[in-house]
Amino acid sequence: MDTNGKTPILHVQDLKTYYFKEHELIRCVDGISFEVMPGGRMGIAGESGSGKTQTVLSIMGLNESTPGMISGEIHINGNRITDGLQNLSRVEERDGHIFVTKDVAAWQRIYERNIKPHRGKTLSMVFQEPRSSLSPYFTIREQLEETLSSLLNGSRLNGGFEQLVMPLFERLKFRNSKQILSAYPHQLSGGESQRIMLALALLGEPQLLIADEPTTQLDALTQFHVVNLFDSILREKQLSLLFISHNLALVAHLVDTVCIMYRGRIVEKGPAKALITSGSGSAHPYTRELLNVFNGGRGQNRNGGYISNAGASSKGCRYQHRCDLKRRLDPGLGRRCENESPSLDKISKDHWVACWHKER
Amino acid sequence: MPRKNRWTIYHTQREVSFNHWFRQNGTKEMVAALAVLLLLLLGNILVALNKDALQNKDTRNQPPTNIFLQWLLMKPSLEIVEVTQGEVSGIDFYGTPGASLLYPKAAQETRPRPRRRPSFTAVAGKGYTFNAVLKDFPDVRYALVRAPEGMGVSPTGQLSWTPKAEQAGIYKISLDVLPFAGTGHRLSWEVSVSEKPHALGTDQSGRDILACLILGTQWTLLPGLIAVLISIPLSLLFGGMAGYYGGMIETFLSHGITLFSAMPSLVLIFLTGAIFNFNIYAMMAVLGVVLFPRNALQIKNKVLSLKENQFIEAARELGMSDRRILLKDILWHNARTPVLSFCFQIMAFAILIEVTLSYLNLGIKEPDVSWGKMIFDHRSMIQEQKLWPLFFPAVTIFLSVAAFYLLADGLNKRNKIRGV
Amino acid sequence: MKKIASHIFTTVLLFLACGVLISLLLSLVPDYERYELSTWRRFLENLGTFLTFRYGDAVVEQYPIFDILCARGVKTALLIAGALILTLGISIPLGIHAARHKEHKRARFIDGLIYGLSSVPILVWATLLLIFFQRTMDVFLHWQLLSNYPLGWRLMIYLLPMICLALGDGMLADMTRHIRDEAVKLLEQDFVRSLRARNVLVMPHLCRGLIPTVMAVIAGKIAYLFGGAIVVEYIFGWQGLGFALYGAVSRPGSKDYPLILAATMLFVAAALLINLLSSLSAIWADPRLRKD
Repeated sequence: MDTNGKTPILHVQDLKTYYFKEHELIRCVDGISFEVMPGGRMGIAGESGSGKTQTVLSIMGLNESTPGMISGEIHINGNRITDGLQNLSRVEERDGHIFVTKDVAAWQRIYERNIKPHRGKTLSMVFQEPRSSLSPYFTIREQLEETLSSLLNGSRLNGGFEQLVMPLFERLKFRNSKQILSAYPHQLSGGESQRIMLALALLGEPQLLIADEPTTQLDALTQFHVVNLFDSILREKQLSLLFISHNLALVAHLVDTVCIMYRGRIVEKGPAKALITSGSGSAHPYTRELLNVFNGGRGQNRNGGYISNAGASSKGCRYQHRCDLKRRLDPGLGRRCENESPSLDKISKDHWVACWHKER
Repeated sequence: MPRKNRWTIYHTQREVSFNHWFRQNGTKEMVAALAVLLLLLLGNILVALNKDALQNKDTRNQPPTNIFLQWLLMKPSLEIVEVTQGEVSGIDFYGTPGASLLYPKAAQETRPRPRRRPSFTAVAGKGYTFNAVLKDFPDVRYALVRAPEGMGVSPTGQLSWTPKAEQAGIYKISLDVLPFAGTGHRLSWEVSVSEKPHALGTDQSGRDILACLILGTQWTLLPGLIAVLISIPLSLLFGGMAGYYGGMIETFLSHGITLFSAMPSLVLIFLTGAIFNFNIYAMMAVLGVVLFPRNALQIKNKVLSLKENQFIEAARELGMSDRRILLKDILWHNARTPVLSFCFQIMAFAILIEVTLSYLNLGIKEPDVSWGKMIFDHRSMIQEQKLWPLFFPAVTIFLSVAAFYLLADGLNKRNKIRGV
Repeated sequence: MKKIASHIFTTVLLFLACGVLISLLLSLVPDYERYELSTWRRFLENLGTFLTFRYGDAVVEQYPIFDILCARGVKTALLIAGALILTLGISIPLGIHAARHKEHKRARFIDGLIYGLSSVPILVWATLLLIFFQRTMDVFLHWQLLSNYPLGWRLMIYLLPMICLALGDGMLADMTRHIRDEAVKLLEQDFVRSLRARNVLVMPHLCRGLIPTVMAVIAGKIAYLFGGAIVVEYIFGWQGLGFALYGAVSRPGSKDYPLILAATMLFVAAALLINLLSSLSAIWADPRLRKD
């Protein structure tokens, strides 16, 4: 946990979030572990449905409890958030059926109690759809005041609206601040709303900013501006970042380390520049598939882009049905992929891969 | 402080069984409601078969036979009257100073069964024995003061009687309790004799209440059907056209809907009743007209939401006429589900309106019987504490209205329609 | 602005249309004492009375109709206002609670209970409540004997008809169900998630979002409430407008047309006003509707 003697801001270990939909088990997040150091930037990349959003929602305690997060250890600045939750849920398998037992009410209560001091203050979050993430009933100014007053109740420094908010506002480079303050969220454009969300997130002076695909809904030019804004603000205030996106180029631009997720598991973890920008750095076939598509390749995958949940407890590597590498291997070697699920193995300093045939 | 855990179990096992079908959304309500509706239907059939036999008259105001029902629904007419030098002051059954509560035991035929209160009903032709027993004073003597013909009493307080068929009516029995010299205590209570046993009692004109309840079922289904027959086509027409065509027609129709929903429904029904001399069928027809706006609004919303769908475009490409699209694709296939639950809600409301109108003496009139009319006839019985002709119709009204609403709600839950 | 003006204009138009309709209906009532006037003449007469607001005296009581409307209208308004406050006071907390904890068995049980209780028609409620009071307190409650009772009893007498009106005929159940459905829909929105991520209270936003629904349900049920008021006034002997209307309609022979017309139009005006209020409040509460 304490590498280099520093405490990570966020340390997640073996997080599992399951959902049941019409008696089908969906393992949204199936054993994720990572950590974000102070000043560091971590990215999570993968296609839609790989569980990226659910990971951060589980950490923040904002997801639905059917059953939701069932196990895992989460530490924020060394504080154990999952304290008291050990015996509240268990997973069993009987006759080929999976049974998840969880005391939903107690879990919710305890987790809320544990994470509440950190939400908004140590960790804060920026969401994917900025316009619908702002409440449509109040003006921007009223919403900023609202967030400010709920933060000040935790006995922070005193100050009026002007002193605390306006500098932040100026920093975010709005074209006409007065008009925006008295406007309603539905009157703003996408880029403006996203910057308001950023302002709301930064009001509490957090240590870690979690950004869940903040630029996916924006057009290319606005994306560029917003990303640069993110970068400069983060640098200026020395904030850590947890950035989620399916756009690998963006991820490479912004973060130091990246985790590639596929169907709820991390398949590769390593330095972003090496993995993404220089194509030979990636070792997992999935990463290579993603990069192929992004770099304009034709994507020779036969079952490309199709995530299925067929069979809740299928053996072996989860990626085997789409794996280009496995198709090219001899059946004898491929059998290992079918029978055993690979674990994350370290292949060099800061680089982990989960594949049996990573050397190829 | 460990709290008790409340576990929820999530699993992948599909239950293909009766249990699973039963637990599906909305099934429980529907089953309960259908059971009640079956009873209503049964009542209707019985009425159709022998209407006259149900209207026989017997003793008036006879209480129900069951002791529990008597305890619930009437003030027991058992008194201990203290006779002090010519002045009679009444001491009620509850809270007698001096003597403790009396428990006269009544037995039927040969098998004596101790009861806490006497049964106040008797059927002609059967033998009855009543034992008067004072609780703390087992050895007292009794003398008969007043009794119907044919009743004999022994000094220890046992009365025996076989009422004859001509003796139908209400009789008061009084016994003097002798040893309390000076101030005599007199026990008196009433017995009501009828020719046939009436399980739920009789009303104030002598009709058996069970028969009245059955007779009342004819006004539950038929008026509702009339209202439905008028309301549903109207709402389909207006709602469908308003949703599909849009524009001027839609504004015109939605204003019409607001117009009808602003007028108080009962007032409109009154006025129409005044026009048609309060004929129940005419009033149900008007009820259908009054209720159609709300359903038309729902149908209009549904049609609007369906209009956006692609398959309308596709159908138009294929060259189908507008009317065909509207009728077949939209209304029949898609808007059909909420319409059924509207039907049941309208029928529930129809029962309510019929009850209300009868209660205000504007609905069913003599010699017909309906549940609302029973409540109207006996509304003064509250003071006299004879509650059974009020209680049973109230229960049946509640059950049938609740059944229709539950049916509608169950259908909604099953089809996952929100916000009706 | 334009929307508001168009709403008001529509309301006035609807009021006039209702007046015409009611006059027509009244003129169709068969009246054997005035058979010399044809239906058309009577229609015109009613229409004239309606449009010029010169109602004159009621036929039965020989009071000016305006006075009757004022005196009795206040009592009916009191009844309806009390019933509305009761209903809202119970159903709003209940609906929000049920929306938040929709998984729990307790919420579903309460929902079923409210639903069952509320299916009971007003009539039956009134009867059962009166029976209950009779049996337990041995008191016969009637309006006329009001002054004999101490303050507690008087409050109870005022409260009882309001309870009947609030609970009967599915009013409470419908309201709770609508609020719960709307609250569930609101709580699923994205902005709730981002509010909770900042530890901000969700309640003010939820209430603001529920205002249009609540007003819409009230506007939809107001017509029913007036009808129910008539029944309740009859049962409890409450001297309100509904009772006057019932008396005017059910008397044999020539009915009291000016009174019927006036009372009905008052009800219609109140209902239309509440409809207007509901659309206006929807515009105020949700800024997205203020497109102009």
